[in-house]
Amino acid sequence: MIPLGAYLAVAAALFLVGLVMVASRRNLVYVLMGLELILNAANLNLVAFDRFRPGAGVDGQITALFVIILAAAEAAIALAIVLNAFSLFETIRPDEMDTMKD
Amino acid sequence: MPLSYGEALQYLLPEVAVTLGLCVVLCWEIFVKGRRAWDASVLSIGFLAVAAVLLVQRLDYAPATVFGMVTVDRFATVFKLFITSATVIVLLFDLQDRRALQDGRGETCFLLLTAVLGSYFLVGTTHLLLLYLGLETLGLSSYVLAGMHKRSRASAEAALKYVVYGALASGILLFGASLLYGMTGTLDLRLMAVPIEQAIREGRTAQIALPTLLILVGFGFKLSLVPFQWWAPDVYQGVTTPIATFLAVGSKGVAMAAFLRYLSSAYATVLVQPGQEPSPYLASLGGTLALVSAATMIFGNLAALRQDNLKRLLAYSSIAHAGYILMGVALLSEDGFNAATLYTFVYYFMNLGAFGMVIYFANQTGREDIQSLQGLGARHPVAGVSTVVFLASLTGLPPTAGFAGKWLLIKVAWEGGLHWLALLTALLSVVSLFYYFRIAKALFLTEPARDVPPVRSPALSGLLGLLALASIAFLHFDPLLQVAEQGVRVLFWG
Amino acid sequence: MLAEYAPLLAWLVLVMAFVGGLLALTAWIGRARPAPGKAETYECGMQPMGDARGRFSVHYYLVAVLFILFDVEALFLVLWALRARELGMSGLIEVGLFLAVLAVGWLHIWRRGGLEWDR
Repeated sequence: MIPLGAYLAVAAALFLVGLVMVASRRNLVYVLMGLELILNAANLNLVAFDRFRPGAGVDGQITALFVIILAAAEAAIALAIVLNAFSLFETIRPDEMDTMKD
Repeated sequence: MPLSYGEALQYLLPEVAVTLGLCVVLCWEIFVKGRRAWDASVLSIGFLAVAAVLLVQRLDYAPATVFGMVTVDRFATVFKLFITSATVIVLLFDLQDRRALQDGRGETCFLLLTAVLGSYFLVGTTHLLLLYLGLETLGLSSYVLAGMHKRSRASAEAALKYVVYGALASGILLFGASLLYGMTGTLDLRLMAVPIEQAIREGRTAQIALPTLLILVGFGFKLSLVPFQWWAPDVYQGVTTPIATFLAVGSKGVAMAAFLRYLSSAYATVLVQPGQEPSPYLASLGGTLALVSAATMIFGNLAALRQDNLKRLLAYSSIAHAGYILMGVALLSEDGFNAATLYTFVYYFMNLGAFGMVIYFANQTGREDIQSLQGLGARHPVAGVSTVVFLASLTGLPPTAGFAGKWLLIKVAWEGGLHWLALLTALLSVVSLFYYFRIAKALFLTEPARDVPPVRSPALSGLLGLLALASIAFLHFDPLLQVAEQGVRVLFWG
Repeated sequence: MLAEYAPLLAWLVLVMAFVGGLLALTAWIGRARPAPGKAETYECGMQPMGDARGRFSVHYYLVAVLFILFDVEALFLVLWALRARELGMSGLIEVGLFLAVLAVGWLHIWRRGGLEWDR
């Protein structure tokens, strides 16, 4: 059987990959994908902990379901905002959308 | 003792009222013909007023946990009233703002009500799932609110930055929460307190410190604390002023409340009691918060010095104020939390006023930079004098509530051993005088640039006057302090 | 425990060695004779038509996103349906309320023209 540590390692890796994708800010679609990866990393943790803890409830799994739904809602809103920004700026590179300066 | 179904619903009536309200507003928007531009706002204010009345009735309810998730206690109810009244004022601002979007106001109202509902759950829970859901409901509706101005580049950019950093913050927070769930085996922060205490005692601090750090990062983004503050100025500048008001006052207030509840629940068994030394773990947590607090107030105040755009200046000033509030939180004691809560209330009055001032003068000139205010103070005495009161309060000058709030923060920080932070706050308050005074100087001490007939808006100047009176009246802040103390006592003693 | 996976690892190494070897062999023995016909996209032996990077109308994203949203909301219904009998009347009412709120959102999308993506 695959040990708990393996799940946690994969989740941590997913989290870091997501973080790097958001931080590199090359392309807004990558940024959105990175955000989804972070949420899925958390989901993997939640479900794995439920599976391995003796006498565990299903709190983690229920939470994961809610997170899936929220991730969809978040993607929908973020995508709408990105598309609107794209039609105004005609680029999806976030570093080129910087009109406000101090 | 579990509540019966009917009793549980009794506790949740304010939430029901807001939910009903947002459904009605949305249906009104699509089904009623011949609407006026303001009727959705009036409808929303009506529903929020009903919710506020229900909340006031619930102030004296014994603390209870409904459906195992929603905590209804004095702390939650006070902050629910906080966000409800702030939203009513934001809706009034929106009606008075001549540059506000006239079409799509129904949707703005709907989104504001959704944000209020999310805030209700955010401040009223110790369950990490509901905390996350509340945070996201508040966040998702705020992202759309930021982008409502579909043809404005600034608004699109603001919405984009807000959604990316906001989603990142809640994602990091969720990842931290999932680790915390694994370490402690529960999602309820109050049940976590015992396993957390045990882990700290057995020296397994890394297991707790890592998830705690991630959760702090999440809250740090939401509260725009250094080093997670860069989104705030761009977002506040890009969105319409009423929405900026909501983000700066409403969102930040309830996020601070959720942060206080998180700390006081998860560390319920180890928090600093009077006359007792903190454990090493707690000392390092408090030390981290104190450092972040110092960095935040230094950054906010210094960056505000060279701003010309009023909204951007207020954004940096609100970053600085988050730093002040965090100083109370960093003490991790009941006194510290009291001072932080009180300052959040004071912050509410003076920032609502300051953003209202921006709307008022932008109505006159169509601009929102400091130069545009030249000489307007004499022409608009009520708004002008109120503005000076808000500025004095933001600086922390004596005849205002801002002074009282800041004085209490400095006092408890001094007593709690954070001498350097207390001194830093006093020093930075002097620095802040420079940029706040620039606004007052432009209003009263310069000649008017050109002769424009003033646009009278008695409703808005009346509202500003009331907020200014409140800012002065609460110098004698016993009633506010009582509310804060009673709320925080629930956090500590149940 | 990991020993169970040893054959899999061996298989993986063999496959890679085989494929890598074949590629190396062809590169070594064969001669490269480039021709325009060879560079063309292989489309089941037919003449390729159009560009592989064809675009959807961007308005289609709205339908896709709305589909995803309503699709995942079904998760809540599945949870309820699994325990519908035990949850009884109160469960039915709660799910009804959930659907009612969802329906308000759907009505709004419909009336605002969110479903007419081909316009």
